[in-house]
Amino acid sequence: MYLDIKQLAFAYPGGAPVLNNLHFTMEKGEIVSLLGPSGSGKSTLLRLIAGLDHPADGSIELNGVTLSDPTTFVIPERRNVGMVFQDYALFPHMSVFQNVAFGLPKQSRQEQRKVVLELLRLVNLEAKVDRYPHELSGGEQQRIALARSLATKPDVLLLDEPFSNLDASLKVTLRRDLRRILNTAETTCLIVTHDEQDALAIADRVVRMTEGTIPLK
Amino acid sequence: MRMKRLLSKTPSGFTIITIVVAILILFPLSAMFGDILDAPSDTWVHIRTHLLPDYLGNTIILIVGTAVLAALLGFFSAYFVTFHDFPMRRFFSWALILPLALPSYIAAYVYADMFSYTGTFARALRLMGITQLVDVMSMAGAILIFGLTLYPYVYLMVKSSLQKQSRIYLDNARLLHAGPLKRLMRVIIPLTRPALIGGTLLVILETLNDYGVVRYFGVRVFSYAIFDAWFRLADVASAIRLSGLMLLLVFGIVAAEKLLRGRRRFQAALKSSSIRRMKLSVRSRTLVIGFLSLVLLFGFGIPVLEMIGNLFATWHVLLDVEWLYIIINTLTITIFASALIVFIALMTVNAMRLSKSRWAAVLLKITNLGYAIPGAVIAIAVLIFFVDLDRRLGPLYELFQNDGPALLLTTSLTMLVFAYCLRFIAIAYNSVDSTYEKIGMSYTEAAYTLGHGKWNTLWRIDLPLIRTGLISAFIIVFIDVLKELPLTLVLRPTNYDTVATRVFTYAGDEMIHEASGPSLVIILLSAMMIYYLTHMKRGGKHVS
Amino acid sequence: MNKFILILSVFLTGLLLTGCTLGVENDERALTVYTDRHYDTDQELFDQFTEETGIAVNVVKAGSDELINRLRTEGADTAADVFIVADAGRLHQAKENDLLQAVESDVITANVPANYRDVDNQWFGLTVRARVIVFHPDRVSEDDLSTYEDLTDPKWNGRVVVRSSANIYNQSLIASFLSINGESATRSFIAGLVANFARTPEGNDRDQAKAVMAGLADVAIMNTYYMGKMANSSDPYEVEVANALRVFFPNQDTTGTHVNISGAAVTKHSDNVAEAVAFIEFLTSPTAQALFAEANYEYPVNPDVDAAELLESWGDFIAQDIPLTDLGTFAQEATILMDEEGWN
Repeated sequence: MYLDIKQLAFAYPGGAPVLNNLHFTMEKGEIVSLLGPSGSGKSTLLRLIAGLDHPADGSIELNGVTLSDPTTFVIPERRNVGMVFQDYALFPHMSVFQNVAFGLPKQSRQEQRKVVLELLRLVNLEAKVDRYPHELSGGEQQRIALARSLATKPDVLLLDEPFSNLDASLKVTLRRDLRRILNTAETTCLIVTHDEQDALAIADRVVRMTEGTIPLK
Repeated sequence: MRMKRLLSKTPSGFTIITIVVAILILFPLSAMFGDILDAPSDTWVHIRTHLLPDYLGNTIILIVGTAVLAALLGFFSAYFVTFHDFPMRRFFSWALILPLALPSYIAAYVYADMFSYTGTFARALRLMGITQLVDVMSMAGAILIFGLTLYPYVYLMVKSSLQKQSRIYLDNARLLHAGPLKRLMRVIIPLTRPALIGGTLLVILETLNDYGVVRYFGVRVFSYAIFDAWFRLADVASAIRLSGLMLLLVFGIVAAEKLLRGRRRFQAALKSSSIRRMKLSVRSRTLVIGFLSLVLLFGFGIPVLEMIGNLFATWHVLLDVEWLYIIINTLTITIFASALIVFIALMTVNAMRLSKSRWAAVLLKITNLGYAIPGAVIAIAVLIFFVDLDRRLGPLYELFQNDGPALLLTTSLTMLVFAYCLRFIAIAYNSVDSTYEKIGMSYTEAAYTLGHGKWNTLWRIDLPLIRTGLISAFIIVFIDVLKELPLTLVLRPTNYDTVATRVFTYAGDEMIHEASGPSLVIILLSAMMIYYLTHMKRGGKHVS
Repeated sequence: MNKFILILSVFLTGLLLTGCTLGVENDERALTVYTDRHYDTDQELFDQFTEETGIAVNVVKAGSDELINRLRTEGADTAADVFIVADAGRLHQAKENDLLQAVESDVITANVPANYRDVDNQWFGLTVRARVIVFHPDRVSEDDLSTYEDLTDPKWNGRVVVRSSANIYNQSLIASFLSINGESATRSFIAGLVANFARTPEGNDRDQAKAVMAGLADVAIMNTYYMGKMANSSDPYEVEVANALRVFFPNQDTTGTHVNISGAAVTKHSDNVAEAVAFIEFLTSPTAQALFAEANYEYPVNPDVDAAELLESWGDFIAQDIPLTDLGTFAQEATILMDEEGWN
């Protein structure tokens, strides 16, 4: 398996368990939607995969490497996991170019520019290269955030509620765009959503999650 | 009573109060700066050729050096305390404000004394056979002293900004493969920029304003020239002209910063998630604690211990019933003036938030001018204003009291409180404004749409939200008023002594050891205030 | 309606009321004194005066220039009756600004020698300080010393310390030179002195003595007053310094040692002239003068009163014979010359 999660458990200190005994796998290149009501622990799962939280138990393996188990913990910056947050979190003090270039490895200025422009072309926002985040619409910000995450060529890309902050009337176009971008980038992608239609429209496979676990089929 | 008035076209109470305050402040200042347009005197030519070039150069070295040092110390101590977990973190979190309680001129005297031939440090060295003296009375010494005593301005503002900084940016940076250094340099520091600059600007203004340290050390900077013009050359007009130039310098710094910001923004409306403090390895923990201890030791511990040592031989200066009155006097006027100043700042900030007009911006600039003008110059402006006011109000006084004093307000504390306001509103404004920026407009607007009036909203919605910011504004202003000397000396009523004027009694006569007692009283009062306000609990939650 | 306005107005009213009544004692007879001297000794004397006469003394203490400015601004409405300042130049400046009035008092005239009071009797000296040369006996023999001017000799190169020119003591020293020797001689004196500086001026008078003690320099120009203060300091190490160093009165065979005074004057717009005069009579009286001398190490102006024992031990000296008014007249020129010749 490309992404292999076993027996994963998580609880906030002194709180009730958020995840327990969760098993989940993904193939390389797969686009999976993780569907569940709010509070079911979807976002927590993303944070555990990204390494932003420490699991209480269980293991996470990605591309043959153990990211996390009771004795190992790879810090987020070494995991090569990309994530687009619900409110995008574009760095407000950086231009679009600087945001996208942020995660790129050290290289010459021209090469950097080439890669960034390529990514912007992918998300169809080449024209906005010198803008600042506050000068962009919500949809544009999301696509820039996507381009920024893709820049590091992540082994897996995590999208947290990608449509929740966007205008419902644009949804159809947005879904199509996202699908196209993900296909072009050939990324393995895990999308968290609470909207069944979103989930079905984008993903190759839909996984349902309830009360901190994924019921076995 | 509940006011049903919503956002309306008529000016709000906030705006009216702001306008009144701005006009009151503008009067003395304009009267003073009006003279700048007159033809320059002969002494002005002398100042321009013999003093100005040197003084300008020195001033730039001093403020750049101090700003860099204070920014580094303030930023890193705030950064360690906010983002990392280590033993005594809670203690450092409030204790790092303490150097603010130590007036720079006192620190200068104490350090110079310690390093002088008869001082503790030089004697210790001689015991070890080293007769070399370290000369702290130099540009480098002045920069160190200002940096070590003024960095808390940066610390306080940066800390509160870091606490509000959304963790998402940091998480995001990590997922984009950014290590700790890159996160610090490219995310944390830039996002803290407004607070960092705001705090550093306060440090620069305090440094520009100082006269005590630079005169004693013989470091010839701008404030030196201003007092030279006034005291040695008896040319008040030139002194004011120089103050005007200094204001230009300050505006230049502010404008340059605005320009450098360009279209960038530093806040975005993101849900802020609470900070999780990073555990440190034993080695880095030792380094962090070492660094913070050194800052605290040099900025506070060593001078205070030295003063306590001095006190043993000079405790008799504190043995006087008079001290009871002096402390009561000092606390009354300081608490009152600080509360008033924070209140006015609150009004000004609210007036600015509700109106986006250029007029409001201009008013703001005016109310904030005072912090950039040397205290002694303000003192004269305020005095002229009050004497004039009293003369105009003379007939009114006659109605009540036939044979009363002709200069009623001038001989009362009102004049001093007014001068404090003029001088310190800018600091309070800075703190209150940066807190408001963080909570944004949405809560306030929500309250308005729910039918709450402006005052009601301020009292019930805004105040609880910005409480921390108000408290830190109050602490800073309180300590500044407590330390203030030039205004207090000139504008106080007869027989009126504060702790600071007591310090001056001895320090002015080169009696550093005798000045230790009163200085320690200032430090103790400030420290108690800092401790109390940072440890005040509400709903079990620490403010610090 | 809102608690703010309420609290605020209560506060403001309170403040105004306290302001009106505060500090000013409601005795029938009271004096207001503006002074730039802030010594505990002075306060003791003021209290003693109140005890003897029943006249209360209200005090405003601030810098001399600020007080002159305040007197000018307040004009006829000023509450000040007496102005005390530790510099003849400032007294002269106040006189020139028409802030003082002439006083005829036989008592004062008898107490204060003519050279220590204004020609028009507008101000009177209280105490005298001499600006002397302090040296380390191990490195300098008294025979090497003669005059201030001699300190410009190349043999003193890198051996002289003195505080910054921003200080009034130096301003008045140079003003006295201008009065005695004229501009060009004074200019070369400053240039020669600056050339012999052991370091860029820093610190106060005491720091100059410490620099000599530490071997940074061999001679310092400083006030007798501070040598006295150091010899009786609460800091035992300062006492050591004062005991190790020696005082030399320069120019004894030529123009005399430079002196300056603290003096008192009755303000032009005083409403209590009789009390003010009585006050100055008291301050120049032998009792008060003795206290100035003993507790504050200044030379009393009253010739009937002896200086403190320590000061006596340095011996008598001849002071410059110039009208002290000149210290004011030449003050500005002195400043300009010092700036031009690079005395920092």
